[in-house]
Amino acid sequence: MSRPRLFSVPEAIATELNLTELRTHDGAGRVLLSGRDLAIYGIDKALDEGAEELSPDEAKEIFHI
Amino acid sequence: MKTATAYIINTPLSVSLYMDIIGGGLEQTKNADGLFDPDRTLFPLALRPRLAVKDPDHVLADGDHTTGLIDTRWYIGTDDKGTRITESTSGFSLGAYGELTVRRNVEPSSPLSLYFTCGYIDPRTQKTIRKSQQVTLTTVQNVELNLSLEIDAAQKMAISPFKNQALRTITATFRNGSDPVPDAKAVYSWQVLERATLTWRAIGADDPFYVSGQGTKALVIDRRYIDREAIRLEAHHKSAPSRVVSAMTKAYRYYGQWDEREMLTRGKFVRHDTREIEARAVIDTPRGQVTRPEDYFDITHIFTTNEKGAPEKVIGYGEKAVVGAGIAVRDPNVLAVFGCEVRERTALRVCTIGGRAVQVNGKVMCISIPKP
Repeated sequence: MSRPRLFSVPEAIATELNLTELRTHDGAGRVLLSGRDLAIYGIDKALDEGAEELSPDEAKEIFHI
Repeated sequence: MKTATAYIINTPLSVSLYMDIIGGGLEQTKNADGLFDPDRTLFPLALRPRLAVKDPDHVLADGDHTTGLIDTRWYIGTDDKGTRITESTSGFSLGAYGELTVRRNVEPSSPLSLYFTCGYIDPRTQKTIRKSQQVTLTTVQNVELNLSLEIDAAQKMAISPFKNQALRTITATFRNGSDPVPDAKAVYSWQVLERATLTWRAIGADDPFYVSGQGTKALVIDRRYIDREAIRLEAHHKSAPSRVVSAMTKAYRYYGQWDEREMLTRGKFVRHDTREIEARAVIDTPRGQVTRPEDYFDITHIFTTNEKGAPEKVIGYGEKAVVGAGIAVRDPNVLAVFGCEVRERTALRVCTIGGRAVQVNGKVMCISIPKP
């Protein structure tokens, strides 16, 4: 069963997607985006530029959600 | 003094209201585990009104006049008669120039309509132009199911009448892939085969063997009432009612191997002062003697002699029969012979008269009868 994907991305990617105000930040220059957010940008491209896929537990821990 | 008034004629503006959607789309998906994608509580959606103005007279600059929006209002509904969204409305937040941030997930069964209305003052005339727009947020149920169902009962489940515990729980394991389906997402229906019509029907309180568990994953039955029943469980995921899976067991009453023998526990040797002879039926099984055999068997004690053509006489029923010692003839050539006839009994069945269940003190009367 497919689960929604979560990514921690450098702030520059969120800025390019115009999502910095709408998304959660970790306070250390990274932003939590969904797989859908990144679909336009390209997930592979984002991963190459430093994005990391997170499990729900990791996302909770890092972004305090 | 004579005067003349000059009238300024303005060509009407062309005003268009657009709704920019930031951070997602109007549609979500919800998977079988109940997870939304995107989850708007984590990844909110912004609806940002944008006003474009075109002045045919070129008095006003053509283009974006969003900053001129006034009296911006959002409503839940399809018009301004719905519930107005304020700062205190859960799941929404309001921003500048009518921007609305949605932090609420929408159930597939309940699309969410939002209505936006705003004003714009034409700087040339100071007249207010009103514009409105409606958007609808929807969710598609994403069904990805690989369902399987098992029950902890063999396809043929022998039910021994000798078991001390009358109750038997049949428990189901319902999975989607390798994950158990949570009880809140599962629908269970336990059924029994109606032998007369060969149709399945839901097990209910009218079935004597039913104790509890209809609608859950664990059915509790009372073995004492089961002769031969085909029991089936149907299950489906709440997100896909048509994707039904089932598991079945045929439960039947089974005594296993047993053998009977008649013992004389008193009066085996009849003397002048022997008054009674006690005959006792003993039932042996591979696991030992059956205690209280009359609880499970129909036992008839019979007396006869070794004489040719001697009649057989029933002397009692149940585990033991006691007769007077005089039944044994005091002729050394005539031997008293005691025997027993033992038959298995059916499960407890509803006792009916004229097709109607007999009730005693409000409870259905059941009987167990010897098998033919």
